[in-house]
Amino acid sequence: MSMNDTALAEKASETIAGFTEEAFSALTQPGNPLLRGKREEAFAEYLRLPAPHAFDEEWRKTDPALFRFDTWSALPSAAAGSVQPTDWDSAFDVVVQVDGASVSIEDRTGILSAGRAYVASLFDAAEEHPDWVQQYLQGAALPASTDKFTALNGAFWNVGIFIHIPEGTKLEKGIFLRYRQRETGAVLIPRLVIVAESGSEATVVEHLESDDEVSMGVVSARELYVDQAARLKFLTLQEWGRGTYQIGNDMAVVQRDAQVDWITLNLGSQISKLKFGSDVAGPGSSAELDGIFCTDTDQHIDQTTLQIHSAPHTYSRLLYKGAVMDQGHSVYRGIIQAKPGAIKVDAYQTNNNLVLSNGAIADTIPGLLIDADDLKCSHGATIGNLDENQVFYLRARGIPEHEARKLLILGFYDEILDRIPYASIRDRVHELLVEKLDRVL
Amino acid sequence: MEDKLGTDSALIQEEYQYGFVTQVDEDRIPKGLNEETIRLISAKKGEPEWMTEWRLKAFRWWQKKSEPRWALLNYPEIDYQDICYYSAPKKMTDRFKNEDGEIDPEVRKTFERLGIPIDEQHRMEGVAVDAVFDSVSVATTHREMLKDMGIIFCSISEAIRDYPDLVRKYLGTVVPQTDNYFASLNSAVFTDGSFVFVPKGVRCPVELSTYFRINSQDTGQFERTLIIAEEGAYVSYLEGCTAPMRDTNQLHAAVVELIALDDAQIKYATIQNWYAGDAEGKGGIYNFVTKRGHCRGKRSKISWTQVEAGAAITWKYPSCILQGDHSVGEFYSVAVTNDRMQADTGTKMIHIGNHTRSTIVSKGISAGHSANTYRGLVQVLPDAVGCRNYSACDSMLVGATCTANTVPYIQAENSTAIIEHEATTSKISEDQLFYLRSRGIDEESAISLVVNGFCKEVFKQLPMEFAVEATKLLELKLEGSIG
Amino acid sequence: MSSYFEINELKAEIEGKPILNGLSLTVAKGETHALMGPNGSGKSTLANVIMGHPAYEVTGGEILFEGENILELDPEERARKGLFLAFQYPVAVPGVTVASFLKHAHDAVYGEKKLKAAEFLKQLRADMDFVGVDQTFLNRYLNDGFSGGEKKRMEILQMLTLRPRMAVMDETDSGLDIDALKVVSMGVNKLVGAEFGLLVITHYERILRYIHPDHLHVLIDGKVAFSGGPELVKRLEEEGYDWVRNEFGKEALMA
Repeated sequence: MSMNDTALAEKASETIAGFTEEAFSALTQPGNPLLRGKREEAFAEYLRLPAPHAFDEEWRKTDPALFRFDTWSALPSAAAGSVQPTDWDSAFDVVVQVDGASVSIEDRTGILSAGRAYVASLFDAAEEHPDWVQQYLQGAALPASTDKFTALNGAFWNVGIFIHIPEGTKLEKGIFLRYRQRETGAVLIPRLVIVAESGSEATVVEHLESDDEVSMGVVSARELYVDQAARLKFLTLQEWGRGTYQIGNDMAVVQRDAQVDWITLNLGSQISKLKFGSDVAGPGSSAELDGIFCTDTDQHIDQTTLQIHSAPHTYSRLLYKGAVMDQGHSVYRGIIQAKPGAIKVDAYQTNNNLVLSNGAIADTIPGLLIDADDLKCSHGATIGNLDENQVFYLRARGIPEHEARKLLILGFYDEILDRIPYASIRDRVHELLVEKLDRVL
Repeated sequence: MEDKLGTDSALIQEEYQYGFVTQVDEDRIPKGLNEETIRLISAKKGEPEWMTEWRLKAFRWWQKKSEPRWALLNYPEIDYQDICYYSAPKKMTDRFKNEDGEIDPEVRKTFERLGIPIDEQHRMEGVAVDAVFDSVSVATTHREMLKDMGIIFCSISEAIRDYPDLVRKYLGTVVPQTDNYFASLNSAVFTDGSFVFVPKGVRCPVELSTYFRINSQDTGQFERTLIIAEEGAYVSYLEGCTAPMRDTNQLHAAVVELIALDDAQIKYATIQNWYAGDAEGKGGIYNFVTKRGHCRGKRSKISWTQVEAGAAITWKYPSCILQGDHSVGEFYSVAVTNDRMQADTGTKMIHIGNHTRSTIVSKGISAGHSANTYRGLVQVLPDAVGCRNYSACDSMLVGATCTANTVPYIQAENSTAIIEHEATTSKISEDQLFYLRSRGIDEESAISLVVNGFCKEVFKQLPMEFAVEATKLLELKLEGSIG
Repeated sequence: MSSYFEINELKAEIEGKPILNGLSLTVAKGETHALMGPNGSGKSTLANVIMGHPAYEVTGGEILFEGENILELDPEERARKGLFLAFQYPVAVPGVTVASFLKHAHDAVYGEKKLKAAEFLKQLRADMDFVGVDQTFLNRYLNDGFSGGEKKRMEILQMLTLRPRMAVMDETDSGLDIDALKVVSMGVNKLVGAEFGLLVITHYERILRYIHPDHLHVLIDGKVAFSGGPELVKRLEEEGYDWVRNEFGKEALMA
């Protein structure tokens, strides 16, 4: 695994278009000293780390040159009054609207004023709770040294949200973050930090939207901290428009006896290169990771999941299901990693793919990296089309062929949709899938 | 503990019983690699001009490239100028001038000690053997009988001399000189290897076998094997390898090319037991091998079976290019690593033809401080209709300090493809061991039973004698790895 | 006037291998027919060809339902015409619940005459009680993890839900215990009547104690080798199948 040092040094001098020394100094003047310090730390890493190339293993299936940072230069700005409340809002305690770079927070059930949760922009959090920000922003889950784009996010983030659930608190409804972007030519760089203190329980949902005509880049980073015996449910519904190109890197660290349930629904964007996962870092901790994806036209979705076991007696389970249609291309790369000493580990990973059109490509690269003994790890991956016997069975009951296929594909996704805790979101995902399938079948 | 694992040579001999050195007069060329070396090798082998040029083309490409480092392997830089690229028992060189030349008695004894009779008088029933000692082929048995059937089984050097048209037609068509760093090095400097040609409609009645032996110090072994099965032909080929125990690492970079035309079938089995280095990782063979089969014809079939039990470093991916419609590729592998061994091995199945099928069964066993990686690729190209693949990759961990990795790549671009991949990694089952031990079986035997059970699916692909040898080899390898 | 359901000189093959070699058979409205034959004689092929399984190729002959040749119709069109096949091996469809599947099928078959959801559900629940399928099955995935008996009951439940006018039962009795067989037969008999045709394909005479055929056919090598009317069925009831065995050899029935 040794990297040639000279090659490393050569690559390191490269910056991503628009994210230069000048841009950085303009951004950090004057600013909160805590945040500035964090940004400077990240910027140093950003300069040091090599820029990804198509010949890097991680980027082999998604050429980084496809992300045209040279064409996106603006920082996102708010279009006044553009974000309207939706009927989903009533299902949540707190609704956070991110429009351009402006953040508005609505405390619908009064949990914020009652101190049962803290939700704020990172700018406010740095003033109000510097100790938390010091500990968790760019913390153990996602240090700036992770990779070039994580460091870029750490140095240049333009939307920052900090969520803190105090010890032993259980939120009835949950927190909803809605990102609505309508400005062309911008790069949205969101940073999200969620801290669930010991024994707390909460659900956080993100909904990402942009119009198809909006050409934009997104470099996101999320860090989740789930402390002892806490339970955090996190869900992202990604329905960016077709002009959106996203690079994301997310990580959850789960402590003793705690659990994270994480669902990612990747249906939108033109190109996505996403990496997310969990480190079950305390004995008895567990992670349940689920996701769906569906590509049509010439969408390209490249996803890497990490199931890291750095403590003994830990559990993780992952199920990722997707279909590719038209000229769509999906990449799934799964890594289960058991670190030395992580004994009595159970880790499972399943990736199922449907290739529904000739010309569509499904890549799957499930991996097991095991450095310990006394564990059980497994992965399974399948690629195939619908079972024609099932299609026939449904047709024999009078269901027209395209309807039968649609039913079967929705059925394929059902076990994951079933785990979505909000009916409104489940319905929306269903609707999005049906739209896609009706277009193709 | 110290005493037991000390320098008692008898004990070490027992651990690796093939670790002896044969004293023979060697014809060696000086260390180092340049165009002159290649011309010298080519001249020593009396090769025609086209062959020399072929080698030089490979060498020029190789010079511009650097070693691939993507495998999960850790080893120091290899100094390619510190290797001797040609070494032969002196008496052997004469043999090329005289068909009736004597085989060096020491070399003959070596093969006898390894259990490989190379005289026609003592030949094994049902197995034709080609024995390769360092850089050259020593003997090929059963020649006359095979010749009567039209089957050619000889060393590649002889083939270049006696069947140049066949060699020119097929050599490098599956693994070109510019395929990869190690294959290209092999193309430049290969010294011997086996050549098999089975003509149309002929079913080779005996197992063909090559036994490779590295004897000389600081010598690289670069053998090249080419097997062609014409329409409807069948051949089963076995390969075995050993080397003496030495403190320094030795390089082995082989290339094997298989070509199966319409309805032909080639079975290729390897039992690799190169010296793996000592318990501290000192010495051992670096095994960088490119093996590839080309199912060129319709309904052709190529099966790889490998038992990888030796070598300090293994980098090896026997592959199938499934071009002919309805062709079939199979890969059955057991890779066992112990002590400081590192193996990064697997296969590639490239589905080009319609209705092509492939099966991959890989069993990795890691013990000691070793690292064992399965790496594979299954690819279905856009125009390949109705292709199927099934892969099962299981890893077993014996002891707490070893590493097992599974890195399969699967890509489908056709909506009619069906691909299934499963992999598991687990500790050797305590419950099974306990059950066996409660019936009075000692721990080592219990482990051996469980491990053999784990590998059964692969072993049953081997001819009987080889399966027995493989079982014993595994036992030997895992001895003392629990405790 | 053409008859209700008529198969004429039907020839079919799978993967180039001929299975049906000129099979003819007619079911009049209101009749129940039984078709028996050894393994490999083409029983399941016939069932699949009647329903239009794409893996089978019809190479000759016709199948008329109410005078129309249905061979050119898609499976779903056949179903909407009132044809039903109870499968020998119902496939599992993970992810699609029984309730959602049945509603889809009902809507597709009944079109504008479909029932409103509530009304449909009410009727479905009644049918479920009738065939002894627990209500919890509504939320289970279709046939997924069902036992053999549960799958066969599910087939009959679908038959009751869709109310076909011509049904083919492909070895529905195989692998069922007596209680399950009784339930299945009871469900089928609920549909038997003047407006219903039934073809029971079976390996065993057992089911014929519960479903009483008017006609019996013996299939050998893809052709009807022997047929008889009520007098044969009567003889069957009195003498059992021994005489068929004597006539055609043991293999004919118990292969």
